[in-house]
Amino acid sequence: MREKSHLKKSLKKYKWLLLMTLPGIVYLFINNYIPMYGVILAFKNYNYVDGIWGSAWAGLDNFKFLFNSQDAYIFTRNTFLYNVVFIVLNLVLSVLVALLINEIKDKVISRFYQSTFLLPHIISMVVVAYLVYSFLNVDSGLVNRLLIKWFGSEAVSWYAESKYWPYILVIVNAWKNVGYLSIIYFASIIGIDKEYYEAATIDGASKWKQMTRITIPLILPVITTMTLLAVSGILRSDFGLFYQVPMNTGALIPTTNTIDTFVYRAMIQSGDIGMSTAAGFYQSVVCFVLILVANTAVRKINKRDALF
Amino acid sequence: MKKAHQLVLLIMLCGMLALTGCGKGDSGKAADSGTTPGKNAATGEKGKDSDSSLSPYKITLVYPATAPKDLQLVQDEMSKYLTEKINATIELKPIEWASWDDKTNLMKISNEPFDLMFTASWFSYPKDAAKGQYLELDDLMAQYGKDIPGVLGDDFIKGSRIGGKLYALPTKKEFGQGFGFLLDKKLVDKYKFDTSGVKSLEDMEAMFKTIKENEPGITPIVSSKFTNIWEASNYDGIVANLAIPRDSKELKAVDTLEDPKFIEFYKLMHQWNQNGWFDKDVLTSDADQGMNMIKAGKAFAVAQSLKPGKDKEMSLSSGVDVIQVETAEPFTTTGDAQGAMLGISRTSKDPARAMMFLNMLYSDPKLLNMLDWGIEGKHYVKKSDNMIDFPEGVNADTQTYPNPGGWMFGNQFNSYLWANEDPNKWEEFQKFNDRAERSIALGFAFNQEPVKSEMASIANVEKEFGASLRSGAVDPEKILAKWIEKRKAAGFDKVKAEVDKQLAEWAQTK
Repeated sequence: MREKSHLKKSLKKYKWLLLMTLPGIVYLFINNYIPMYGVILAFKNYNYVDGIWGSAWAGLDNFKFLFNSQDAYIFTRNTFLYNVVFIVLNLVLSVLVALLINEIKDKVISRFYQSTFLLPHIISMVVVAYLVYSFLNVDSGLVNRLLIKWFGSEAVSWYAESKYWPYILVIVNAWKNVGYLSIIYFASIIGIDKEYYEAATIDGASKWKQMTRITIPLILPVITTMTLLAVSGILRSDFGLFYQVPMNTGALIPTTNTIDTFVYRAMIQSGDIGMSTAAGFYQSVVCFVLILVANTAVRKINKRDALF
Repeated sequence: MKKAHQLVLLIMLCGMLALTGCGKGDSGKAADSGTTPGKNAATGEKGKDSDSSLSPYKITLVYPATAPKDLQLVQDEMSKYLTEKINATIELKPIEWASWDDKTNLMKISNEPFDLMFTASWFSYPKDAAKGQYLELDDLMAQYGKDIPGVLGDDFIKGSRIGGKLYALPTKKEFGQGFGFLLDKKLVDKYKFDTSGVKSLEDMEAMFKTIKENEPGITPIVSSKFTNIWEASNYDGIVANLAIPRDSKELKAVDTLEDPKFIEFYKLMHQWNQNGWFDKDVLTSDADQGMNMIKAGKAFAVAQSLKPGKDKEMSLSSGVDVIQVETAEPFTTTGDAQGAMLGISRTSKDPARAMMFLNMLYSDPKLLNMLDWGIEGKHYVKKSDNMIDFPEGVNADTQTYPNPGGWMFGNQFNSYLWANEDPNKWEEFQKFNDRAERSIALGFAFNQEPVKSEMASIANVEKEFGASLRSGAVDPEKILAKWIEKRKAAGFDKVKAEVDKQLAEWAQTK
């Protein structure tokens, strides 16, 4: 009984706020929820004539291709591990960059750094791929030239050796995304009340102490939210990064194949709608489970930081 | 060849990613259609007395091309002519190559009405036919397309069928592919190579050796695509490296990965790579790069699938003189018959009229040349009966109706030739087509549906090992062993059984 009246009370109290969220909810419903019925394509043998509802049911056949080769383990492992490394490394680097930018007192220089760090984020992966290519080309690439000139070593055929690519991809990804994330952290750092720092300075806290004891604890909620969001995409991969940057080279597949590139390569020939829907559905389910787990873990530690 | 086509597709997809922002611009072309109603009204009268039994109808033709500036003008002119003939008007609907997949998939799924669409075996013809996108054409052709079988001939039509049914009509063009190389003319002249006697790959080795020894900065042969071409000239490939050898007398699929001839060839390629005859970029290079390197004076040869006059065509478009040498006689497979086709969509409101239009593309040079070259006097001038050139003051860069790709439409042999082309080009084509050796599996198209999940896994396996093998960089025996093992794990045996079954069934109907 008490809960009901409580709900009624808060409904009444927040009615204008709730009303304001209505357009957003309607949009979300039309744009994100209604198309979800398309997920039944994952269980259908789609053809144009019969349409979505009329096509014959295929049971779980559409999912088979994901698991019927040895690749399943490799691309799932790749996708998962790359994302774990990306999440951790990007977090550390971008918080670090945000803290450093925060220490720059000159507004103009600070802006300059922000823009410079953000720039890679807005460059298309196709362009990035060619930038990387200009570094790694066997003949004329910068890296090989330096290797030969400074170290006198043999030219490395980068696009034939899969063992280097985990490092290359991690570097490229960090270069591309750290700037963007650091701006978000930087924004939340500026939001911190200056009085904390003044009090800390009076108490004789060093810069390092201020960072670890004031800044980081205060932006922890943002860090948690951003990390949770990243975890929710742990089985998705940046297609451009894993397909364009290695120039779709077959020899690199053992270390660059992720679930998205696997599905793309599998589908480019057959173009089967049911099978690609199945792959997307599989990713979504795994991500959904993962975010539930991660969120529960966060809630155990600190209830207020959890997403829901 | 499938690989090569896939490559083209991939490049287009990469382009698509880069160009998505620009792709939207062409929709604005429809904006200047304000002139149409007046013109149509003027032609309306003529239309009346031409064929009173037909009600007016607008035919929509969808094909991949960049919308030219004068599209509307040409469309009006064609509509005027078509109104006289079959009381129809036409809407030309070019779609950028880069956004083709996105836009047409949407059109197909959303049941958008259109009449004719470009398709090809390397461009989703089998898949769309299996999904029911195109109408069966045999009856329509018998009724409204009487001229077509005569123009195309039996082999062409036979090769276009899928499961015995005809879903699209092929362009009459080169029927088969020649295989060989394009060589830099400067170097051929310098070392006085005799290209007329070249009949095989072994004959080429002496040239490559000479180049390697005497020209340190020049790569003898560019691009691993070359080995695809060798495969295509020796095997009629089906799927997953199952193929029918060219000289085979029986309809039996062979696994090329275990075929001695195939292994021998790749041992030779490994040797060539060790000799340093390939470019170092071989893993990431393609045939375009080959032409660019020849142009830059950094390479001697690039492998190509050939047709008569290919060297002139390439010399013209790339601006460097090349000579073609054939190392194998032309070979015709189902893929060649289905190289460029037009299908009638299931969403067509009047398939009969679409077929009448198709019939005209094969039999009416005036209509075809309007579509190919535009309006006489404005976009081209006639030099003789079938030779044309730019009007004064117009050149390749300033033309307002560049050819959308004549190879996509109807009877290409009816198309005008340019002043700089060989006046006997179409006779040469005819000879080439007659000379081309037909694969015994011509007309067999494999239906992937029953094994599609195995095929999806195998596609990834193929990607992993194919390019490395073709580059010659690794010992073929090692890589083939790994390839075979992984392919088996991906369900190869099931695919092979299905191929054997379908081949046997097809042999019954032959």
